[in-house]
Amino acid sequence: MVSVISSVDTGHEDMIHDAQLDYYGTKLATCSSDRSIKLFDVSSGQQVPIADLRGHEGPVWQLCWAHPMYGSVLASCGYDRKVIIWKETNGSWDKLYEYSNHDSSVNSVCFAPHELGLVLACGSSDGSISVISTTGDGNWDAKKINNAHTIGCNAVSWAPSTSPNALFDQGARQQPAKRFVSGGCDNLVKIWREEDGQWVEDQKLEGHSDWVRDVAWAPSIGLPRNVIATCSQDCRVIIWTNDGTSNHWTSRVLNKFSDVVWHVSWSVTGNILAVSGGDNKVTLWKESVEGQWTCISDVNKGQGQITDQRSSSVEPNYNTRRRLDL
Amino acid sequence: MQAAMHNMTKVVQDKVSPTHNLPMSINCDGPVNAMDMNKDMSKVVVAGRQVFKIIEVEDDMFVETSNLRVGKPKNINLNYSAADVAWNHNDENMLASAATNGAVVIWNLSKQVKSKQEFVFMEHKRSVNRVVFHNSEAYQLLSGSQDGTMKLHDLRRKQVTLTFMGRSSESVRDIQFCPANLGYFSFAAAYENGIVQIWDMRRPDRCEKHFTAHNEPVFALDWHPEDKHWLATAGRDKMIKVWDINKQPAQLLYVVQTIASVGRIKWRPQRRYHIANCSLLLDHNVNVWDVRRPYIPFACFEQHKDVATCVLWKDPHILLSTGKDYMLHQHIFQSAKRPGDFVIPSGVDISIHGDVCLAYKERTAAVKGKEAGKISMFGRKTSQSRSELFFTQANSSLAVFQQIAEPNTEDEFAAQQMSPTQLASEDVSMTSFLELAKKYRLKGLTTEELCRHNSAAAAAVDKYQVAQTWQIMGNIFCTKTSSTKSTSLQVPRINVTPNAPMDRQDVEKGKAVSSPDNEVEVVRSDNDKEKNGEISTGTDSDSDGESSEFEKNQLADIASGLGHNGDFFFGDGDNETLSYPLGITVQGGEDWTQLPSEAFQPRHEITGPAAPPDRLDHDSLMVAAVESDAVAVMTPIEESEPSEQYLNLNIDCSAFHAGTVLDYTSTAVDIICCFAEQGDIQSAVSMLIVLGDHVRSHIDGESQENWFMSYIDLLSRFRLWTIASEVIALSHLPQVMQLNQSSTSIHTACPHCMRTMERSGWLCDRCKSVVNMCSICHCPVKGLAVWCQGCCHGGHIQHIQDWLVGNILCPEGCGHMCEYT
Repeated sequence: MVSVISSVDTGHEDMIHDAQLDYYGTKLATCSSDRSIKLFDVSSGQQVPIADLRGHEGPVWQLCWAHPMYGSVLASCGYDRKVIIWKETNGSWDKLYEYSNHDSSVNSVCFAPHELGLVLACGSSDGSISVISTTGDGNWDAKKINNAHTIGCNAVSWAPSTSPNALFDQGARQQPAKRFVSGGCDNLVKIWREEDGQWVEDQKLEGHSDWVRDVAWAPSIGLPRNVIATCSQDCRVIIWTNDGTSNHWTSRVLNKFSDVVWHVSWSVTGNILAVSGGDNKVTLWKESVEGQWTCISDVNKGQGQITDQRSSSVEPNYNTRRRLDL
Repeated sequence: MQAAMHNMTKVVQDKVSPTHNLPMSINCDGPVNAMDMNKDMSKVVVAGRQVFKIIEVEDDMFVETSNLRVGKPKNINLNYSAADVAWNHNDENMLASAATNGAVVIWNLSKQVKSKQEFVFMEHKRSVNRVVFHNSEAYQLLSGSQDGTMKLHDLRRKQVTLTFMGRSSESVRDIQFCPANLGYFSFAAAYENGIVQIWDMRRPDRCEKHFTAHNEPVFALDWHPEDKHWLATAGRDKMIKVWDINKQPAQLLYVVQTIASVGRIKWRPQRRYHIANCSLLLDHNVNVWDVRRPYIPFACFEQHKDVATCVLWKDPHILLSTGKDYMLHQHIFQSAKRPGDFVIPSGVDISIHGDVCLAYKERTAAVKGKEAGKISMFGRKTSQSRSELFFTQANSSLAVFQQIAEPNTEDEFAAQQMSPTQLASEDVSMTSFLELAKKYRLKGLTTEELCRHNSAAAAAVDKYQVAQTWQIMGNIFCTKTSSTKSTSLQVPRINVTPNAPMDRQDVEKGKAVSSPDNEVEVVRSDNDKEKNGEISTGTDSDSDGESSEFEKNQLADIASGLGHNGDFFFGDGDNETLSYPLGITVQGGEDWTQLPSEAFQPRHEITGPAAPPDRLDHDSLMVAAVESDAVAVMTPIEESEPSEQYLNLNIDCSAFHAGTVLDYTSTAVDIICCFAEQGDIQSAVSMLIVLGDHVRSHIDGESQENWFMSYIDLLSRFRLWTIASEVIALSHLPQVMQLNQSSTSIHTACPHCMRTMERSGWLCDRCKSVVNMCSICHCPVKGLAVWCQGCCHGGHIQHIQDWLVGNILCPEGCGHMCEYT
């Protein structure tokens, strides 16, 4: 109901590139150029620092939490060309695995749906995408898609394991569909599918006119179709939809923003999209019954704006603001 | 904003930097270890194990002018292989190279013969790592060697004049003269043990300064071209450190973290904070750092295919580099990749609770302040430093937009007053999901009661549409339930006639609140108890007929007064009639007084003309009204025909019902599917469970499984294990229900071989022996077994119980005083 904005003093010494909340929404992980990853406990409504993970030798770009059935596991990737998988054991965080088989900065990590096992996709500036998986006995296996995106891959996102078309394809039900979407510097969005243990390009979606910055496959909770949101340096957010049975994807431009759009993120139920752009704003979008996307919220995240909201205490929804100094 | 600033930087640089320079490169035919430029920067000498060349730098290309590695092949020895090379700053024709055999070779380019070798110093015992000419003294050459010494060579006398040796015999990795204008006699030396020393050429016995710069070997150092107190050092520990050596001890000013061992560093001319580096391994790029932002390079040149070995600034905008990939590159700064521009400056995530968390780049007031200061003080240089400023001012903030507990919505008009933002946050927030997950009842009552309960629960969290749907569902399916169970609750969609008792009317108002935006009026005419009795008995007699199902609908608020025991109501008196609705609320578990009060608002319809008093006496009519309006709510367009029948339904009600009963089910199915498609999996699954057999067969199993799995997954994310388990149990889908049946077996281990006994609890497959026999009867225990935790003896539960009545010691005779809880 009420939006309470709390600014978290993370203690990072440089720019923060990603912030991710875990499966239960109790832990917050942030990563920064200063090579560190910081973890906070947010279950109490306050942000209590838990851990400071150091192991990267360059800026850390992105984080991803694994499903809790694998324990408290976090993956991070960074400029040092490494992907590090961290695991908590008895309250202390240690490296579980380090993957350093990329030739350039690793820009994106994403854990696959838990049904597929502990599987991780990562996209790198060297243009390749790696899919790392473990059998659970400490052995890790990596499959690399070379030249997935020329110049570089910026983002990866997995399809939900119960993808809609599996509902109609009885034969394919036993093996959950393994698919993910990636976006890159070639302005393309590509969908990849595993076929006989090899990753092949399933779709190539053209629509953006500049680097694709983020891709997000919507959770398919009851939804009878595939939905992918992509955002790009060309200031546009595009929603790609697929009816789940055919191979045809239709695109619809959600909005053209005034600045670069950095991130798109779906809510848990997959019906609300958060878009964050270069104008320091985050907007929430919802699809109406007619299929139109409308902005349902416009939250300024610039410091000045927050101050404005606080001063206008007439609005009861912003009359409390907590600043937590950690 | 950032992009705009970047563009501005580009424009500025276009104006400042010479436009005629182009990126260019040349293949040197072998890995290059080092290079140096002549004084006017028109020529470059490149040297390596198999390379020794002079290359002329022209405007648009490199031209190889001479190869110093010439002569008869047998004469070409290690002296021709250079680890380092230096060009005399004063004598255009003089070069020096350092060889791995310890030789320092002087080359004279003005020699007329092919071989330009002039003189060879063989003073060092081990390989020479660095040779440097003094900036002003043309004939002073300093060399640093692996043998731990540095020697000052006088090129006129062709002999070593001074030898500098540190306290230990650690290898010297780099030496650099202090820039001439800053310190004429000073030079710095870097050692393999991490020590950096500052020497004065006039005092060979001891160094001026001595400090530990790194914990691992120092591979490179460079004096700041403008500030004589600044010295940069770099080493295997992947760090570039900037020291103020005027302080005692030397003060560490900046630390730059690179991703690989640093091979060479070079300050950028005219840029106080910029330093270029190349790495010994792994990283093939030449990076330029702003030391104030130590984590991400300011600029980056990616041309080399193997590690770069040497970097040199021709001017602030042109950088030369050589590499193991045989290449000599000229980089134009303007075309450098700026990693800072490709960095994603924000992160956003939505938590399971609907909290939106985002990290964003902070624009601090300090930037403006500094900028203003620069403008007034330095004029022209401002625009150049702006990009640096924006680059270095890279702090982020992190904000969490949280959903907190619902505020007090006692206010009647709270719903109307809600601002868009609030509604939006309601959309994201999962608070109501949590509430409903806990409040929904999925079993234990009749379908209609469940619907009613859940409707109230949904209304309590302002989910009016969901609440309404529950009511409709209850309406649709209550009839079927009541015809079998003879007990049902009327949905709270009741309008009473003016001749009903006043207090009863008030009570029913309370019930009606949960459907504020959608009123369906039921016209009732229970003027007296005889009428009530007549209705009830009528239902009884027609219980097999279709018309009775309609009547049940409105009868509910009468019949349900009798509770859930299935009896029919025969009214006894007015007082009892009045109390029935209260009984309903108690039974439903949802007190009508807790319903949101704002729902009273639409009660204006109570006085509307929908129920003319003159038609009130007919029971069938009011029943029809219930049904027709319910239909109208669900499908206002297609099902408009009931309005025609409104008046004459008392005649034709059975036909009407027979024609539409199937539609209800399909409509219900449609509604459930619609909820699922909107992502409201909670409503879909809950309705599916509550309506059970009515709709289950109409929805394909795969979809159902998908919904159930999604909902169960969501519930587990909120750690609502109990509710998830209940949903699993009620799913009626074998694939879902088996979730509750996995990992439920515990196998006991064989006491002899410790192997788990999977086939039975009394026979070990490996030992082939019967184990865990009853201590009393010495037979295998096949049913319930009990054993003492202390001595592990036991047996049939009945036998042990009997034994313990008269004994306290173990029946096996082990002497243990067995304890059973």
